[in-house]
Amino acid sequence: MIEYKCPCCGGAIEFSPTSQKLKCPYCDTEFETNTLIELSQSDSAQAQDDMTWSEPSKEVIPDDSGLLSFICNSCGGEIITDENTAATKCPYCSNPVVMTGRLSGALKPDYIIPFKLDKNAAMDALRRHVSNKRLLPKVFKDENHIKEIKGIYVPFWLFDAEADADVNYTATRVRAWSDTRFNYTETSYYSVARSASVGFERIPVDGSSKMPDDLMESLEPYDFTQAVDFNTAYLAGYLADKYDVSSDDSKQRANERIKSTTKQEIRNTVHGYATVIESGGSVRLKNSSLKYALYPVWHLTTDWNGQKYTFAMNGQTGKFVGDLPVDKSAYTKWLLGVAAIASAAAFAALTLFSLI
Amino acid sequence: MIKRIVLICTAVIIASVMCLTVFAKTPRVVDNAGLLTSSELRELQSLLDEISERHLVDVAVLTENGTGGFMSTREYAEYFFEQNYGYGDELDGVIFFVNMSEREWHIATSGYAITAITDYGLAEIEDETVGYLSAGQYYRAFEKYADMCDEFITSAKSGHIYDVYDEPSYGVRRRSIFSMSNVIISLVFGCIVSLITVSSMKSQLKTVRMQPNASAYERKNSFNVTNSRDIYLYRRVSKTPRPQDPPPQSRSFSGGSTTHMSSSGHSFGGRGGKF
Repeated sequence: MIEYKCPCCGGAIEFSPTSQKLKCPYCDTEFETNTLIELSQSDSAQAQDDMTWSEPSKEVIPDDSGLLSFICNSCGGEIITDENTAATKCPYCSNPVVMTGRLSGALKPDYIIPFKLDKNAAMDALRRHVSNKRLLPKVFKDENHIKEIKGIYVPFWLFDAEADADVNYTATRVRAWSDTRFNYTETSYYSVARSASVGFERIPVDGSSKMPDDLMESLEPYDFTQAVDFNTAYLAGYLADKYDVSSDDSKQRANERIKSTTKQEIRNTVHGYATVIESGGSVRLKNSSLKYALYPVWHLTTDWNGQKYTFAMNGQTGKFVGDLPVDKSAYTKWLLGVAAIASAAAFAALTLFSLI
Repeated sequence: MIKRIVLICTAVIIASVMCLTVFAKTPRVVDNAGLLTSSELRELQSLLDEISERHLVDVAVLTENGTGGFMSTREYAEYFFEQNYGYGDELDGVIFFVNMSEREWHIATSGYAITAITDYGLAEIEDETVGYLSAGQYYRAFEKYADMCDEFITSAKSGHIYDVYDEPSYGVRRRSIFSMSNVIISLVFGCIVSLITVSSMKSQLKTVRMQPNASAYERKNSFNVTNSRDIYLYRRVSKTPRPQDPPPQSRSFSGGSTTHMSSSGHSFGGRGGKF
């Protein structure tokens, strides 16, 4: 377990999305992420007085519920986490802590996209998200209160692959002509085959079972050019989970997306037919590889009328998503109102047309 | 100058002759069956007078509770017309007779009205009026009859005789202003537009959905078609008979008007039936 402390004043230090550096909230001193890493490594390398008797590890399993407890290095309070939490805050002193054991070895992410937008940006985005929506209940904007706002690094599997595909189609062309007695329609049938290859890079699949897959996919795309090699310093001040959906279980979803895009691309090369029906084919993957990365997500929950609404913002691009409730009476009013106006306009147009 | 005097004199003579004939005649609405209220009677009267005098073609309405048993509905209509109406030598005019005892109606045309109101036109009048007769709305039936006669005669005088080659434009056009089909088309259109608009408003509220594909993660310029093959297999030809021109009419009219001689030897066109 790591806590990053300010070398200047000793306060708990956090990653700042605006400066992309570690910043002490108490004395406003900023540090390069690498400086702190080196510092913490050299600190731990220093031999300290070791007068302890052998004790059980600080990580203890209190019961069978899968919860684990840690002792906060700053205040001595007990931090309870589930088995997937990789970064959190001490509930007593709010000091950010990182469970290094959950992020090392096979669990160490390859990349991380650091947060680019802070909590205020997420709150502004929520305000924008609920404005100018005609069917949203009017009181929702005033009455829904942010219950929780969390900056989370969500684990993603990134799939790279080359896809080779063969697709067969049955296609038709139609020609029509007529003589004095008959109308003729000639339908010509074709067998169309296409083979193609296409490469995919870093298709993300949500590796956390806590985060709904549809919510995470709605936040796409992330700009991977801004990803950096993983470094625990980026987690300071945020929550992070390790993956709990294995890469094997995530492949399924990546395959679906590769398949549909490959087939769509190939379908786009079939021109000049009246109808095209897919009759068979296959998609094969080669040179597939996968990486493990943490992507930044602002996760907001609000309460309204006893129901919980979940929103999420892409911590890098600011894309904001979240389903909102529909005002049924406003829906009916708009439906009837627009129908009445459109009908009246159509009726007026038809009447005018018939009078000419 | 002489020409002008001659012209004025002729006009005065014609006008006075017209006045004489108008005053001498029975009213153009004879409601012996008592189907109209007095105000309806007055209105219909003035409407028919106006049309008749404008076209110099009598447009008349007659109702009776029976024909006395000696004549059919058609014969009575023609007899009554010959006795009372008709402009000029040819007795230009048309009469709509409603015989309440038999629940029969007959429209008899004479002189120029035979030319202007063809068999096809009469059928159109039947379509537009008999429904009202059956429903007991006699005034509306007579009003409709007057309007249609007016339009057919006007059209004929301007050189276009309303006949089989015309789309049934009269009825369709007049009805279409408040026709059910227009109302239904408008309502369906309105509902579709409304559904599309409101659905798009509703879809703004739903932002959480799975990505359909992975096109955002396709490596640039990595798509290569390695093999492309289009093979012609076979063809099928189907033929359907063309609809023959002109499009079939629901009723067949050869065009123009059919006429017959009345007992007195005058030529009449017409159409009649039960209601």
